[in-house]
Amino acid sequence: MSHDTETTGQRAGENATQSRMDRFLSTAATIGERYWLPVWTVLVFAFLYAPIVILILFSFEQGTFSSLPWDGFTTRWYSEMLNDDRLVQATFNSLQVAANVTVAATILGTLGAIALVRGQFKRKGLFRAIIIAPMTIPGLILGIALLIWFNVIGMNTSLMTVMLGQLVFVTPFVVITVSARLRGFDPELEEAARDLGASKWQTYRRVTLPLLMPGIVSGSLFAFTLSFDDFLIAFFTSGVENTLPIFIWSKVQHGTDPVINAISTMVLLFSITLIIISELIRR
Amino acid sequence: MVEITDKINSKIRTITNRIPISDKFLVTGGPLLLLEILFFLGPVLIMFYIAVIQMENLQLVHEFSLGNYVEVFTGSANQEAFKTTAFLSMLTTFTAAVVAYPFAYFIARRGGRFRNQLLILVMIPFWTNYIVRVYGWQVILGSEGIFNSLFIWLGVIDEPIGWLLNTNFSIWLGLTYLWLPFMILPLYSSLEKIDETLIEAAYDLGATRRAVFKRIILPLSIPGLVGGTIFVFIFSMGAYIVPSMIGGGQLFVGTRIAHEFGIGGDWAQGAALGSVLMLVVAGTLWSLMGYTDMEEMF
Repeated sequence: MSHDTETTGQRAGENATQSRMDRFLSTAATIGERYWLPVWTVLVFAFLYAPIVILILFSFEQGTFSSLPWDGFTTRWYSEMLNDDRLVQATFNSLQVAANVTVAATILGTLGAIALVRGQFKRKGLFRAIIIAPMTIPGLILGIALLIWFNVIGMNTSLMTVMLGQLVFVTPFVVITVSARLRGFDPELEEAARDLGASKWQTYRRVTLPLLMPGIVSGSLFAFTLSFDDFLIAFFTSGVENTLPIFIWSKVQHGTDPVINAISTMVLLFSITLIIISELIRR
Repeated sequence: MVEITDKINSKIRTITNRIPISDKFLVTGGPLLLLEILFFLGPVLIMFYIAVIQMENLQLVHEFSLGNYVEVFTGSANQEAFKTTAFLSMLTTFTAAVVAYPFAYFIARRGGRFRNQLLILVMIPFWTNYIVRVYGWQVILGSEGIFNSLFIWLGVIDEPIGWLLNTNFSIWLGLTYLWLPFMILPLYSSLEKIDETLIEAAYDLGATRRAVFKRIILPLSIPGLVGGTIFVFIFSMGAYIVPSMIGGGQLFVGTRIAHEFGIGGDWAQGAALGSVLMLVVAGTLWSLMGYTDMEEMF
């Protein structure tokens, strides 16, 4: 009798624990399911930004080795950076190359987008493939192929060859950005303008171009960033000239150095600004 | 006289009519096409040619031979480099897919009104200087770097962990890091397009979460997954900066090629390595391109 009650009691207790356990596990599972995605997302963002944040933080650190614990705040590396003539020259070269590439790529790319979206011709697939291919092949292959090419056709490598080489892969990005915009707008708007008596040129200038403008501007900002940050094409085709990425590369070969952190911070902030502007225009 | 000019004119007209391109195309697409022929197709084709001639005393000698290709496949350094590169590229592609999928899913389907802002946060590392970002990992992973100094300071470890930098591990980490956005963006664009009503309908018909993922979400995200795979695999196979900056002396195809064009001084051998790499790239594109739409990715 007493034995019986004891087992029943024990069983009831066990059941309670069991169901509490079950409930706990299922809540844990729901919480897990609800929260693991956001947690994962935060972790991936942390991974993507880790080197960027570290470089910016440690460009202000006093110690010559970028290591913890933190030694103290300084702007010394920035003033050392500004005194480096080779750095200033390399930066100037990079800006000059990027400006030229941007202008040429924007014009060629916008025209190319018009051909790609509006053009009616045979072998359009081939044209599309020739535009997309330079974006998908590794920069290293393009770099060495261009080096051989300039050598064979007898062109001395200089900033000029860097610009030609960069145009090859930068222009397709402008084509893609502008053609997305071009596909999104109604050709009837242009027809309406023509019906209302606008000339072909007026239609282009007053209807087509303003509608394409956001695509063109964001495409050109992308072009600038791509050219300014390019290392591989410049590395193989710049001859004795330095661009900023080549300068950073050669400095990095000698190990870590807080001055590189300062240069990197400037480069990162510059690109980040351009990208944010470009994305805000595009969306 | 007039007759002759007429004849010539009509001749010209028939010739221009036969060319399948209109003069309008010559103005719009023409300049770009010319640029890509002169500085993309030309260079790539000449690379295949240089690969079958010789380089002696830093001069190209136009003597046909397949010796360079034989060296690509039989030379022990090259064999080793291709093995390591192929293995790490596959591992990187797999890792990037696993890391990027839940991330892209969250932004695309749960991002709500912050979706665009989150996407811009992905675009920023995608477009910023890659040398600088790889250098950042050098600062983090080095034996006196952030990671080791932090954990020594905290007392977790006594001596710096040596295998963090200049090993296959750091190449794998660096490649995954660098190409991750190339996996995220195509995945995002295909996940974002999935019609919510399809998913709701499946739940209404009694499907479990697992079934909805397996039978609706995953199949509809295949174009993005393939697009990302194409980019990550190709760029990893052709990587030079990561193995060179944080890969120590590990044999890698990219560093072998750059070596031949630099101190190695054998352009023909480098071109042969580059040609084989180019064929791998073309083969990957050829076999996978049909499953995705490259233009929609950016």
